[in-house]
Amino acid sequence: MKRRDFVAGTLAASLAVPALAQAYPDKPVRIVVPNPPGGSADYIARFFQTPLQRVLGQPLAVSNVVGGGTSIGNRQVRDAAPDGHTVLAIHQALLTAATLKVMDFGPEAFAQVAQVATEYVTVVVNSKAPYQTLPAFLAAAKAGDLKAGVQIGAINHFLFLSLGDATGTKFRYVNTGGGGPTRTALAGGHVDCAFLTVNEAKPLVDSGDLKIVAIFAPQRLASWPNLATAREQGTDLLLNLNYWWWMPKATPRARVDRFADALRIAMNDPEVVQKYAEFNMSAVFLKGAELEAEIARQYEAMKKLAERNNVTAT
Amino acid sequence: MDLVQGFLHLVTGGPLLLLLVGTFLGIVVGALPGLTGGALLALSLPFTYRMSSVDGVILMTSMYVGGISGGLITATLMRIPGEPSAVVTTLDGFPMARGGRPGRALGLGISASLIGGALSWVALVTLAPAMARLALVFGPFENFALVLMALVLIAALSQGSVVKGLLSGLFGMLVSYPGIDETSGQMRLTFGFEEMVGGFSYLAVILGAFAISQVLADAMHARQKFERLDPSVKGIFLSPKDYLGQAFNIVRSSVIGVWIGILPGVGASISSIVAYSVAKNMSKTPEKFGTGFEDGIVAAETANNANTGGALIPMITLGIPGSPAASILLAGLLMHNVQPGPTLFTNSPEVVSALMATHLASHIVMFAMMVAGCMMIARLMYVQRAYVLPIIIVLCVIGALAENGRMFDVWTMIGFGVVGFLLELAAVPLGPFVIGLILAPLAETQLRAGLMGSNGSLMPLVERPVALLFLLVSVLMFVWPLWRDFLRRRQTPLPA
Repeated sequence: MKRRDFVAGTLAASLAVPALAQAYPDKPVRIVVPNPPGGSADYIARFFQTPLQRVLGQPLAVSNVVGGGTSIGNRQVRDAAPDGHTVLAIHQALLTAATLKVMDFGPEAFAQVAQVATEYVTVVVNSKAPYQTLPAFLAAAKAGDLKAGVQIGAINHFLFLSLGDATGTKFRYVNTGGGGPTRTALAGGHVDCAFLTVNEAKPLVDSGDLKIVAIFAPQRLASWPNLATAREQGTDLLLNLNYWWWMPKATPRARVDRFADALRIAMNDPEVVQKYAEFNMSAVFLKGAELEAEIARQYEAMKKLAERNNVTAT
Repeated sequence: MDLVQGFLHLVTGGPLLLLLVGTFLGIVVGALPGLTGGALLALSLPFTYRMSSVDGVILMTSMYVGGISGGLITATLMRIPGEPSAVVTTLDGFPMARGGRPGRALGLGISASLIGGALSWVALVTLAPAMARLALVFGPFENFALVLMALVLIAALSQGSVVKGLLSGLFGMLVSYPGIDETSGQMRLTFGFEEMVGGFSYLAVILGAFAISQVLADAMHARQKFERLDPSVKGIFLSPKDYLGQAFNIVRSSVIGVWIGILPGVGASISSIVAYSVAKNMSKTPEKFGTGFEDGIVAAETANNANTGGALIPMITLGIPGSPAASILLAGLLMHNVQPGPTLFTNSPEVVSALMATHLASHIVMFAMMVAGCMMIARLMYVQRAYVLPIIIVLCVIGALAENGRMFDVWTMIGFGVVGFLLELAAVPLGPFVIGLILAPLAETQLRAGLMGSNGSLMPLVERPVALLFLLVSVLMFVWPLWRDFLRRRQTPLPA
């Protein structure tokens, strides 16, 4: 394994100089999504597939490399030839996997390309629950042990840890899994609360089963104006998913930048703009030092949270 | 609901073409060992993204149905399941085909597929809206008890030796454990190998145990020619008498198929295994199963197609796919921002009616295509196996590699090919192995989720009526075959 990586690395390095002179990309680009189809990390890659193709002039293929809490796909990109033709699309799941030590590397093992979107999340409860506002919900959480439906070690778990940390509340965690099954468990009254994205919650809010207590966004959504933010309910906390793109560490800077700029252009493509609106995502673009600082900050915060709450492997 | 409109839409130009192409591709991929309907669905995702949500649903649903159905062809004619869901079709389909009646064996399978699919369609159309409500009652304890009902069949499934069956089931469970422990997010049984963090891919393991192991077994007799077979496809159409004789089997296997289909994440392979073993258990002539018995083919092929309708129910009503293939269909919907749930029926009625209409229509198309192609397909029996085996290995490697693009999955497949071959030699049944492999993780996560919610108390398992009911049925199903064998042994006087 290791030796082959080394050979691949030197080969790529020796080719790097002439490669730089060539136009990039000069062959199809492979986008690795380390989550199964249907997750938000997957569709963000697919939103960008065609618009990016138009900008880069090369076909893009999205492949889902699933398993090991995203670590299998992450590792595949880390070990890929650093020529800019293999790109990873994943949100904070890369950080949670590294924090839980299911991978022996973290964000530092990659060239960090860009952030293209932010999706603010909501705390959702059963519509029959006695607490329907954020203050009442937090009071209930302080008083008794509310069952939170999460996937242990995944982002929806860390979102609760962040909330608990900021508000001095504790929850009892029940491993209900990702958005779909968690939302069902919540509607059936098997857990008391969950973090869901706006679009995950919407069908069951419309049907009268669930109630969104707060969205952890800086201001109300234009598409859903009567959804109260946490901030206006007295909890100044922003919680979100950040959609990031990554490349192998040794990828030439020029190529990383070229791809980042292509992403920025594609973000203005009407197709992407429309999808962002449909999915209630905000266009937030970061690259370079700014992006690296943001990722490092989140990673540090996550590691501290994990340590304080005893979720890290011993 | 405008189901009529859904059907009318299907007979207009573009949608009709999608229906035909989707079903056809599904059958072809389903029949080829290694390539599965799930892989085809995943490959078609980028195309459906460019289509309207209705067209995407039509294409993907027909691929789904075609894929599940095509698997019976290679299972019957070569004893190699083209699709994991056709694993038990090999047990009776192949002996019958080899015994000179390939047409009859295919005909039974094809007709059973159509009827199983159609009955599950009835369940889909009538139960789906109600199920959305009912399913909410199901918490972790209910789900655990429900999975347990299928898991205990390991004992029932053990042809010959109960000990060997249990051994095989436990081995399947063991194989499912390495990787990330769902409930703690931590690695287990990876022995420090990075690649093991993802665990063994089910697809790779099943491909290995059933396809590669069969290739190995065949390779030992590659020079041996098949005896001349009856080339007619007589009996491909079943008579009303045939249907009448199988009526109870068909209904029972359909119900099992739908039930297993509704369980989250459990594919069609389990439903055919369960239906087959229940049919065998309840039969007056269990010894005929495995020798080319019609009931066996019918049970297996009814159930795996009935699974499709079942798997779609929680997918459209709750957003929880009932099978791995349905999860890719779900992904196709989500990309169009069609959010499943109780409101889907009012928000996107056109998607619901397209899905339901296609589910039935593609079963009919599948039936027509497969019956028409039957003569041609049956000739596969005469092909020199020596030419076919390398192609099958190549297809399996492609299939295993395509799933996640990992060589590790290919090694897994080859490794389990050898393991499956050795188990077959030792007469250890592989059915319990698949049940253990797929159901144990589900039972584990559900039970542990329940315990996390109940503060470690097992009491809800007997306090919650639905859970208690399933638990009792599980106990009955576990004890019954053992008890029956015990009685039988008492009745046969011991040799003095």
